[in-house]
Amino acid sequence: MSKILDVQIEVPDSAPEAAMRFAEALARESVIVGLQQQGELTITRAAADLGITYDEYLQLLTRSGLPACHDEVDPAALEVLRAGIRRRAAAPP
Amino acid sequence: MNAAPEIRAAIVDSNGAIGLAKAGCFSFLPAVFDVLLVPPAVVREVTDPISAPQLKAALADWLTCAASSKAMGRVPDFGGPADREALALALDNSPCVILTGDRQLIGKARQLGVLCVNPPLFVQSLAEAGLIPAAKPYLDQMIRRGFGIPIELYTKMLTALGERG
Repeated sequence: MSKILDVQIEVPDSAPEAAMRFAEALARESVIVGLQQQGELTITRAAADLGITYDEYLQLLTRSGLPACHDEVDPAALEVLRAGIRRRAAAPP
Repeated sequence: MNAAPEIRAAIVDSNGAIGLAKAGCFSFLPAVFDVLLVPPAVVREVTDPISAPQLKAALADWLTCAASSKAMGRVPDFGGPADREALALALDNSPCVILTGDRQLIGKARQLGVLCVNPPLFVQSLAEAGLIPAAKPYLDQMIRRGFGIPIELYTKMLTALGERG
């Protein structure tokens, strides 16, 4: 199941077609990036929706001053890393 | 105090591979995990000139490219092939973690009981253990090379490590 996000903005009749297309592309990009940053799309999916590669999408985030990773850290994850480092350090070569 | 979970395997996602490669910490993964797996779709997805050569070198040494054989049917329809393959491979090899900072993938993994490790956290753990002299130069390089870290997370990590003067 999927939903359609429909953004409607009133513009003057005199707005040229090229300017409308440019603004529409920019708005689409903004919506996709916004959904990805909120965790509603993966980076893979967001990049595919924009027709760019994963790395091009990361570059887009960088240009926009947005992070490539989530800020939430599970404390259990740090414990897993600590335990792994101790175990590997103690293991025979 | 709870005992640390005994997790010996990790699945490398594109986000984790690129973040750690850009930080210059990708080669430290075998210092933490016994088994390191990467799905084929992730290998195809990592194409940037910093990360791809490191991934290729790892595949010739300590990293195994593996496709999910059992769990794909348990994975919800979300994201792209690389996301679903990473999650399915994690379910096949449970208990394990997924190396990723991708917010939606983290959420889907959590729903299925799979823990995720984001690239900055991995760097923090290396610095904490003394495997790298400090986290800041590596995190700064990660950012400089185009893998942004939330400022709150960056500050919190450096504070925890005593690297903020």
